[in-house]
Amino acid sequence: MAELPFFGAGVSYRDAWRWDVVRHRDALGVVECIPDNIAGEAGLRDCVLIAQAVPVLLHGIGLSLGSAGGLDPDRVRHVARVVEAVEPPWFSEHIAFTRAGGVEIGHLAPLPFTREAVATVAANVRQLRAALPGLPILLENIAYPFSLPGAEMGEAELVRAILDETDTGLLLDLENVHANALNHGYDPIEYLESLPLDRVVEVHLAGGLWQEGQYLDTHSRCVPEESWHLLEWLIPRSRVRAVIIERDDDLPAFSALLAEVRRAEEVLCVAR
Amino acid sequence: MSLLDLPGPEFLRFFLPYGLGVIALAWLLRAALLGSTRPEGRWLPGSYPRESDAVAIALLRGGRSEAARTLLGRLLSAGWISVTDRKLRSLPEPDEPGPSLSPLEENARRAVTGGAECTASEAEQRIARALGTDLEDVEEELSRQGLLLSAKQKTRLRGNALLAGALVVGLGMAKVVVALDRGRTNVAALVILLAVFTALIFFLLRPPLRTPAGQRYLDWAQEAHRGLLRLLQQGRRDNSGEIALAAGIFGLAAIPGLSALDLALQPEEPQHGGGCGSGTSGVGSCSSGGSGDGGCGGGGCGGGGCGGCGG
Repeated sequence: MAELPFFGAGVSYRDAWRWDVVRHRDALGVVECIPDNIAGEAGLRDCVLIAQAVPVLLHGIGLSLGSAGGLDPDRVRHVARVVEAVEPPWFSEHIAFTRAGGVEIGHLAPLPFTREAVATVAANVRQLRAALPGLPILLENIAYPFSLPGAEMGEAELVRAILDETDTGLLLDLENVHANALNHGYDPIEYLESLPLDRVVEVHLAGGLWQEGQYLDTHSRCVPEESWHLLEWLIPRSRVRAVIIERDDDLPAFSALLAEVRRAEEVLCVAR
Repeated sequence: MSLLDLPGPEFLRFFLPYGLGVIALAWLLRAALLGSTRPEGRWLPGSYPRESDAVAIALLRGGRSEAARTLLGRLLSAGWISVTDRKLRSLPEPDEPGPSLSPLEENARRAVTGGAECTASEAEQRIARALGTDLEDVEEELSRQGLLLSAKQKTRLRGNALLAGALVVGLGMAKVVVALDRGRTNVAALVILLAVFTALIFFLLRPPLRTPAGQRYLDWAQEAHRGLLRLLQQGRRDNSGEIALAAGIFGLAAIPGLSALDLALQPEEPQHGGGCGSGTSGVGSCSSGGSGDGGCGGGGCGGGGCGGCGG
């Protein structure tokens, strides 16, 4: 992971921003595309055209690395095809499952904090790695609204064990850390200190909202100050190569997003 | 016995493969003369143009006339001029500063907003006159980058076409003259063959506006900006810099917001006589027209909007 290039700050790619991304390409270090959303030859060609404007990172959401039944070969082939076309510097996925018993559950669900879960993810990452030879893989911590019973370790320990077992880098979602800290009542800095920070390659920032007593990572608001503070704490302690501002709903004007990108860039610059 | 003494059928049997062979050789030579220069990174397919490159791309697509039209499109979309009834009027300077103009655009603005209203065609000519040197500089840069033909390349290509013409058409004409001189009038087949060869030489060997590298970049730019064009056509973007860039890449006709300008730039149809009707000045087609030898016709299309230019 040590040789991975530095990109700076950017945004998660949405079709609605296509021309803003091209127009403001000088202000963006990188954009992150979701291969699951790239359909057909036209979608692939479009992604390549975006990569010609701004470096593109690929971030999977549907491989379901935590599924005991292994990875869906069609999805793996699709990711491999997109990777071949776009040539990203790394590929990232979530430490989660989105499919169980062959049924797509439609969202990222947390794994049980067990040795068995670690072994499952490790096996699936091996399968993925075989399809993406030589490409570094990053795994992302998720927001979990509840913990499954039968935990053998804490969440940070699970993340650490999986990274060790799979020899992957960490995509650290600070908004997920913020949300988990609020919902499970722990100190986010203590949590971060317990992670292998030397493995952090990429950071996600986003904004969520409170709903029925829970803080939800909805990617629908601007990044909260708490997450910015976490970024400021993290950057001097790790070698982050890219920070992505994520937004899925209530899409703001691109200029508002660019302001957040600039702020992230400033935080990165201070440490460099 | 010289070639010209051959009987008609024998001469035709010789002349057909000879003509085709000469044209094929000249075509190969033309391809070699066009060369395979590799432009700098910024003019390679995959490198997105800046909005300020709109004029350069218009020059690449259709020559100076397209560059002048693109500049008019920029001024119109930025609110410096308006178009009504084929006339261009300069608008007063807005209270709030609008989008800033590049030096080239500023010169174009000065060229067309100085006096009273004028026709769109006059404005186009004024820009072409006033910006002659500026556009020459852009052309030079594009030919230095290997996207447009240099003067030397053009001369060589013309020489190649002329030589092929002399070898093929010259020989054929000489045979016609000799035949007629000897009282033979059955030269129709040879004359038809000569007409075909002349057309082939004209269409296959004339110097193109762009080099293959220029064509590749234009093709890429049109593909890469098709999405932007769609958004402009749907009225979902209104930035004047983007409008001008799309106009440079696809031609005025493709941009709905500039179609009035495009219509105003079309040559006026002759008024139909008969009665006291006012005649129509509207023009049905919306081809923004290319210029230069062998250039691309801007985005030919019918009706509202068009999918792109046949670059």
